[in-house]
Amino acid sequence: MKVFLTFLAALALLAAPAWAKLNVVTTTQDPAAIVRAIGGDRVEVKALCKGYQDPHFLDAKPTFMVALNRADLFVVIGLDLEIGYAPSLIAGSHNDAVVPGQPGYLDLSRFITPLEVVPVADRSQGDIHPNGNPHYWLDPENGRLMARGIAAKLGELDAEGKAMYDANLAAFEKELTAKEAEWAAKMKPLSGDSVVTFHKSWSYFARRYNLEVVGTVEPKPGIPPTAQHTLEVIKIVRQHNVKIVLMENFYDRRMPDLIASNTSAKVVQVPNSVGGEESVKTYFDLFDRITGSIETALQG
Amino acid sequence: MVRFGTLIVAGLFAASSAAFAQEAADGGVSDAGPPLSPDDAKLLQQIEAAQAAQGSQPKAAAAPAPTNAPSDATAPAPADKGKASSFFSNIYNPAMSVNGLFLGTMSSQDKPPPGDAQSGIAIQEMEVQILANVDPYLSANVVFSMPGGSTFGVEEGWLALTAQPLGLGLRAGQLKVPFGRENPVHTHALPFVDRSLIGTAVFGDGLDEVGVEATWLVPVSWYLLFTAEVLNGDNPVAFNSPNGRDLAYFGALKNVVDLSDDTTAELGAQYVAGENGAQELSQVAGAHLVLKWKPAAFATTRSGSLTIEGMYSHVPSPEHGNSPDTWGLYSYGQWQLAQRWFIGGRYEYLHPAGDQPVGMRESGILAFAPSEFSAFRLQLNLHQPGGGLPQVFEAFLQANFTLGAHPAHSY
Repeated sequence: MKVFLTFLAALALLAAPAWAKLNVVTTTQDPAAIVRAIGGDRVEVKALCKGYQDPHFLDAKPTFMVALNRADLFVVIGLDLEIGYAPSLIAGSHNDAVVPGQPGYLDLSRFITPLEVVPVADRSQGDIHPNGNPHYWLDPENGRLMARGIAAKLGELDAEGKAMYDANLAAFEKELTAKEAEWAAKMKPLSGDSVVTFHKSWSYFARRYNLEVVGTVEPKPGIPPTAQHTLEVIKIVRQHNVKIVLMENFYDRRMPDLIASNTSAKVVQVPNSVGGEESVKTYFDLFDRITGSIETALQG
Repeated sequence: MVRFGTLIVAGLFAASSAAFAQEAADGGVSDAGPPLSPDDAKLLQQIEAAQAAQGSQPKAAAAPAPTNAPSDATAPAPADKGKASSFFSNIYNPAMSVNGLFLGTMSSQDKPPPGDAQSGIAIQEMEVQILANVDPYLSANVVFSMPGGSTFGVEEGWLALTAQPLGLGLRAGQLKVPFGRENPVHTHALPFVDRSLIGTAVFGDGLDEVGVEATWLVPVSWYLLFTAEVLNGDNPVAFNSPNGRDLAYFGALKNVVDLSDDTTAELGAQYVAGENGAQELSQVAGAHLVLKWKPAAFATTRSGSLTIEGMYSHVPSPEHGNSPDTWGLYSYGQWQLAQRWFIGGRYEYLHPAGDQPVGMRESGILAFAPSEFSAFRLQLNLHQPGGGLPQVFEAFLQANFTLGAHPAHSY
């Protein structure tokens, strides 16, 4: 038995060379982009969800379990966004390191203050997230908190790289602060206005830029739009003089287009995640794209 | 050999459980430790105070509050911490869910033979699933089911080790044996209203057995899972030896590869053997191939899959005479038309043991799923039982609901 264990240990050593990078798997692209920015060439990052994919509806594909099997760190958005697949993926990964409660599991929602916490939930309200709205990465200040949490975790798992992670975090925060001023300037004309969104996913974004979400194209979260509800949304848009209908690029734009053609509102269809379009490669690109499209829509 | 195999697996389970418990007690998992020094006690108080403060105010201290922020009407209610007035609370309740299936059936047979669908409206099944971590070392999953809404039985009830010694996943208890695609699936999650002809011919209501299981994710570039189980061998159709000491042995290999970002292929093969009621060795082998297509950009509105599963069973017994072999296959395709609409078609072939006639069945299904938690399905079957018996036509309308904890979707 001892010989066998020694043999296994030797195998394990061979399999993990000293220069091995920290292997990070994230559910969505935004934490992956931040891990890339902070971790540089000391980390290998893979995001399971495509940026143009609805992160609520990922499948627990066995091939994702293979990625998790080799991960040192599994980063999730949390707040039940991944409830339909993360538990199955972790259970199927055969990797103790990434089980919740272990150092290799990082729930980024720990670092932010959730909005829309529902003390008592009922599914008649649709696909709600009782612990809070999970779309918090759409507030750049939450991006700052996510980056700090990620840098601390990377430093904990890879002490040798800590100085580099801290330096990269400082650079990230500096650029973020500069960019935030740019984005705020673009959003200023809309400040105080009412907007309609497709899904209830823009609450954090709206709070940051002082927008009031007066309606959603979906009657309830996760429930596709109905004719009757669309009619009501059209009335709301007229009543509140809504200028933009904000929606993700993975939703069907037929109903939003119909609303726009019956009102003075414009549809702004944007990625809500890094990788949602080929040109959106970093966390900063994402807000450049969103605020840029809103600015264009307001001017046009 | 029989008992030796069980001993090894059971021993591994027990030993690794004990070893992990010991390791955890030594390491960081358990909070119990030596008495605190005065300095540490003070520090602990500070930490607890900081934690309490964290719960009551926004953590985003560095985030400048947006000016003129809309009032947050749905802000979290202040948690009533530190006022535990009872030793009894529901905070440790396990995750629970209930699945219900109602089935309306119309059959062209006035007096269908036992096992065939009967005309009428019935509770097809009620199922209660309870799942939680037992302690830092074990988790448990119990599924009670009431097929027909009457007899209440344990469909699944197992303990799994949280740690995975040597990368092995270990489970023990009443298992839904992962024999192929269909067998491990609960009734409410079946792709069609009914189970396949071949699955029913080989295992009756399914291969659900008490036993121990080890799974190993083979370290190759794709997903390759090896599963080995030692089972009590109680299945009335395939095993159920009067010799109480006899066991059944199960092994399976499952491969999954991504052909592209949108397309996945699964190829699996499995084998189970054990002594049957005639005290002869029963052997069952099976293989399946699944192709799934789900474009990431339209993940909620478009998807399709093709599945084919074949099984071969060899059950020597006086009843089967000179032809102890049963074989057959089912094959189906599913297509998602829109976010909430699905259609599917299935073809089945069955060659039963004991000189029974060869049967064939064709099915079509239309499903409407208003949400992840409910579905209504209409299915039509055209069954040729063979042997000169008349063709049977069946129509089903099924309502399916889920209450409680969010179901984790299996792939």
